[in-house]
Amino acid sequence: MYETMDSVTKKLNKWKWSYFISLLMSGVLFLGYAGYTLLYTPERQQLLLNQMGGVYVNEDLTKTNASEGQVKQFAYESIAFSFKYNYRSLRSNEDYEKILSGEMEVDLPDHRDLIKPLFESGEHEKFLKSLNDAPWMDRFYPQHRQIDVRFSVPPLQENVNGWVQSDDGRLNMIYSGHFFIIVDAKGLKSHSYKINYKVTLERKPFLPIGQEKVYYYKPMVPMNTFEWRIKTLEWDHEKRR
Amino acid sequence: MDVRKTYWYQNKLTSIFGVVVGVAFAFFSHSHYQSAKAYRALPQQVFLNIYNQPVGPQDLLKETYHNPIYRKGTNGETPNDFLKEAMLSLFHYSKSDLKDGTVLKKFYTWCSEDEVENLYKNVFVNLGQQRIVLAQNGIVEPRLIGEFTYVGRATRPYESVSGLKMDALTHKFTGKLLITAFGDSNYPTVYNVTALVQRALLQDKYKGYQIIELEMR
Repeated sequence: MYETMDSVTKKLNKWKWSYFISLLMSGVLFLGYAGYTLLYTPERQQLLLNQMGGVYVNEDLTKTNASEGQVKQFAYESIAFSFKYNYRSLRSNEDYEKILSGEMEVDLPDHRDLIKPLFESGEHEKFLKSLNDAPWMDRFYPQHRQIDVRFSVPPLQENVNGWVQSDDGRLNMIYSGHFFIIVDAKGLKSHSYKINYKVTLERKPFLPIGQEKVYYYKPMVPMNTFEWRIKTLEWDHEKRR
Repeated sequence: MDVRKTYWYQNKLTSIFGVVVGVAFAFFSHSHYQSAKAYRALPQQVFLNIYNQPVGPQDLLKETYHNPIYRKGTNGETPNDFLKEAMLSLFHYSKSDLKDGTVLKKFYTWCSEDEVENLYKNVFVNLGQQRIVLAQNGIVEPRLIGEFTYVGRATRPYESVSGLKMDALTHKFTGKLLITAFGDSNYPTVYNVTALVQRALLQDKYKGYQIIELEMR
């Protein structure tokens, strides 16, 4: 059976059209994709900014982003930092008054101001007063005394649940335990005390740095950028040797 | 008549070849489109300062202003504040700080790793002050006399801890530092300080600066 020229031409035309359309489609697909990538804009997300122009983070004082271990580490470090001082870093009350009045100029902060960001302001005063009444403060300056801290056990949680909701609505955490302080004095044997303590920590808001004028070089006092601070610190001592 | 040499047969063959090529084109275009659509850029590390403000791109030829307490300026104010804090921190220590590695840690915070090797291990530990501190359970305290004087700026090569090599803005300062060792009595010494402070990546030094050369005479 022979095919006529007409039928063959019709068949050939079908093939030609399918060839043309397949080539055209790949071109159209490419151009479509190129156009899509050029015109695509990602979805805009709304951000809330804080007073400083940074990304606002909602601070719910009944919650914390820190883990229990981080809060415990803060408790340990803050207590160790607060009890480590010497006759140069904690100046006598007379010298401190001279510094505040501008009679004496220093670059380094006094121990009183160094530990201030770790405490709630009222508790800071109370702690300094309790430190001033400590037995090792007797003849502290003439004997060039230096106090060092040694922890042998980590702070222990007061209750099994850990976190405590305070009356003021803030999240609290209570630890207790003991540590030792070693008192070195010029020309005397060093002696130590066992300190039993109970510390209550509270969730605090993040506050921008104040612009107040200070006598020391400001960066020398590390900021407390952690979410927690010491609310109360109760302690008593036992002389060891 | 050989059918393979006829006009219509060759045309048909060309058309079939065209269809195969066209389908292949369409298939590969589509698979490329699919993989391109699935592409997601890797999340980039964004450094924030303590106020949650993005620090921005790290250009080592410019100053960085993410340290909230330091002054902001283009005439060396920021590295000047960095150097002041560094010097007051480095030369404030007691016997226990010296022995338990606190001082060495401070050197790693403020100085480049090469300078720590040079400065701490070869010079600092052999200074006379350290003998006083160790023998007399002493305390060392610094006091800056006046302010550091800004000499000028230049670029110096910088190599990050991860091995990136680039140029970084470097500032030169001179000043006077009084270092007193408090032991059985006081032992003050005045040093003329010359220091080079270089911009550093925040991944290496969180203050954004490091001391690359420190000369104290």
